[in-house]
Amino acid sequence: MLTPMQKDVLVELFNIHVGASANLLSVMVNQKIILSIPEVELLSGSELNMFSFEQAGIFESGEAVMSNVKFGGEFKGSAYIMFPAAKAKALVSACLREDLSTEVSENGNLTFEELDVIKEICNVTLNSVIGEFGNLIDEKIEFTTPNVEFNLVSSMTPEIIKGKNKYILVLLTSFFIESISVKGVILISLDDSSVKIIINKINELLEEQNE
Amino acid sequence: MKILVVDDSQFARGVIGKILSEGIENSEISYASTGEEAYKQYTLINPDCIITDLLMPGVDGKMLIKLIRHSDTNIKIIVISADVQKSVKQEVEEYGITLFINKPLDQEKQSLLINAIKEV
Repeated sequence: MLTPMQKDVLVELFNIHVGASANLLSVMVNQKIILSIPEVELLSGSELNMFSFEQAGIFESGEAVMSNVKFGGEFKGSAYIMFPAAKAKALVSACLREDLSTEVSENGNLTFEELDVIKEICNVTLNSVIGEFGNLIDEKIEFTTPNVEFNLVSSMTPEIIKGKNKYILVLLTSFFIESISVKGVILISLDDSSVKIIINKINELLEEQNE
Repeated sequence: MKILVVDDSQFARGVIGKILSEGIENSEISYASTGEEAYKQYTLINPDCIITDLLMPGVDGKMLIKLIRHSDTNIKIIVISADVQKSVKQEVEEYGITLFINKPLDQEKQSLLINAIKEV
């Protein structure tokens, strides 16, 4: 659905935006963040089944922390950040500059304050990625306050990500926080009108390049 | 100096509070987790400066600034937000704010914040 050139531009844009977001996350946890090359796919609902979380090689089993923000305006969709629940405590500890040795396997071991830290990490990271898209397309984006959930990986079906949208632009990247070995994914789903807005912008950029 | 810090994240309030208490002598810091609570605090304590997040449930930061500006054009308001959009920054600047800083607060932004408050 995307030409190789359009895809190339989108990967580059996403790379820049996620890079900026990782920089912010790095400041918060005071750790170096290693990013993967982002994967970008424009998929229909049925194809999304092929794009499982297992393919990201991150959630082999167990529970995951998933935070999402919905965003609206002309450009609308949902953005998700996910990482293994067992690493949530380590991420919080890094943020609070505490001892990094502790890990937990259940969300019950996280206090309200620790969940609040997770929410703030996700808020800053996702707002940065999506907000930069708003700057790119010159449209103001309205965000909801972030939501944090603990889910079994097996229960996180593509339908959750897809929602009511017919076509989904999936932007997937993984990040690795070196000293605490936290690996996670950022995933953004957009509806078809928002996809068109981005594609139009990409075409504009390509035309400018060819002038 | 009386400073009111408004953020729905307890963690963010803690981070900002620590920066203020370490950077500003004799600071009296109050906290609010919602826009509604912040407006009540504002009327009660009459702070010298308000530091507010934008995205909060209920009365958000933009609404809070508008409410305060309706009756008070003098109080210094500083926005600390995760929202990186230029359009959002422009919009709240039009309401009359002293400074807009994006989260998270690295050393450079912390200095910027402290210096802006000291000028109050």
